[in-house]
Amino acid sequence: MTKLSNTLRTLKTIPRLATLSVGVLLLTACSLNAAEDRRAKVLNDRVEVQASGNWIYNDLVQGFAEAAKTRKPMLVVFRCVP
Amino acid sequence: MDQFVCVRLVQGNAMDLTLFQFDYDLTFAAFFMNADKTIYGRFGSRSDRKDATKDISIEGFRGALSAALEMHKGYPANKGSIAGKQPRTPRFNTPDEYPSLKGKYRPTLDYEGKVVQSCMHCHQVREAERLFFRADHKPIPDEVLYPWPMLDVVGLMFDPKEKAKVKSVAKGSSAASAGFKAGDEILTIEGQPVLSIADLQWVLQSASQPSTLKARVLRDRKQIDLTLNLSADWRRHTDISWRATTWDLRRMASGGLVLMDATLDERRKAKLAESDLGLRVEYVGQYGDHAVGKKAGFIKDDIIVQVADQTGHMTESELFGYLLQTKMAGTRVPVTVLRAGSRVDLELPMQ
Repeated sequence: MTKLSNTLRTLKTIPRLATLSVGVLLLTACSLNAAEDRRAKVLNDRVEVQASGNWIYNDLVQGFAEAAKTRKPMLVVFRCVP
Repeated sequence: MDQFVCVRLVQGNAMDLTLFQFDYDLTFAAFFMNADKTIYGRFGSRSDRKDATKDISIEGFRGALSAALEMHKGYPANKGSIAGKQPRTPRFNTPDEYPSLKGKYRPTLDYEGKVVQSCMHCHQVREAERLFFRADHKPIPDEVLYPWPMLDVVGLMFDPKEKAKVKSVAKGSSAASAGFKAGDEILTIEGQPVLSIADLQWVLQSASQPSTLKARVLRDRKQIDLTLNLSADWRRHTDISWRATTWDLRRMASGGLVLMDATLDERRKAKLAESDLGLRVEYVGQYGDHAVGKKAGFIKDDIIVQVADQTGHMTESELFGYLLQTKMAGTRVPVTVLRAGSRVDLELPMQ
């Protein structure tokens, strides 16, 4: 009887374990996707800002040199990818 | 914009703290500068985590840009008037010199690898500044705990669409006592020309406790000089609950509890006067160091009515200030809460 009830308990546990495993997999996949999304956003942001031609991207030394050469004031913006 | 050399910085890594001193909780902050590193002014203010438009606008930014261009035209003849806008000597020259950040980040981002993880966020500078004191079992000073106060702390509300135009003045405030009126345009403060609300915050950030600040406003086409007197504890009334960096303060001071001032209705039911301490536990942290409050026995909707010997009204920000300046990490603070009509005594470990 004990063997049977143990077997039944195991059988009952399998769907729960399967559900839990799928849940964990989904969560992992979601967080990997989120990380990948953020990475893509950062990389795309750099490409877009550099392509615009209006901004010097993440290079303060170049900014100072350009301002000294052109005698223009500088606008320095701190803005990460939200 | 084409009259400026525009530089976009996306990282806190290796930030020059001798030059870039701003509210590190912001996700957008701007400096108007000369190529010789002289700062003309700052832009970027916030008092709400979600609603950025509450404090800044494109129109206000445009106004600041125009004023910065004028300042650039007048440079260097106007150098004396902007001397007060220049950075102070920082505790450390770069973020990675802080003990809690040392060796954690490289100077540049790793675009080929884990670029997101390689980025030091600006708010980490503020956190490192606070940890510098906390880890050393020293009180966190007011200017570090309550950084970059918004002008509502002195009773001034501004129109975000203008450079620095007073929208309203709180009754009974120090601004009201100084004679500020709605519609006043602040031209200078402490002799510094004002390009934005952030420039006013810079002056407040640099002000001592107590302090007297001289302001010149434009009212009905006339320039009027006003004197703003700040009390010894003026900075402590700043609301810091919205700040990203307050997350770490909650770990230190409340073990992950988020506290809200009890409403009038809640106070009535709990028989608490408005002058009594009454902070309701809005959220209980669940993990790691943020679950210390939970492990100490606090539950959602407890109303905190006594902390050590304190029973008078305090906001969450004020309570954090009290705890972080008087109770060092490792100590346990007795706290009494109201729960289902009964008083329950607990002990809150400080971290």
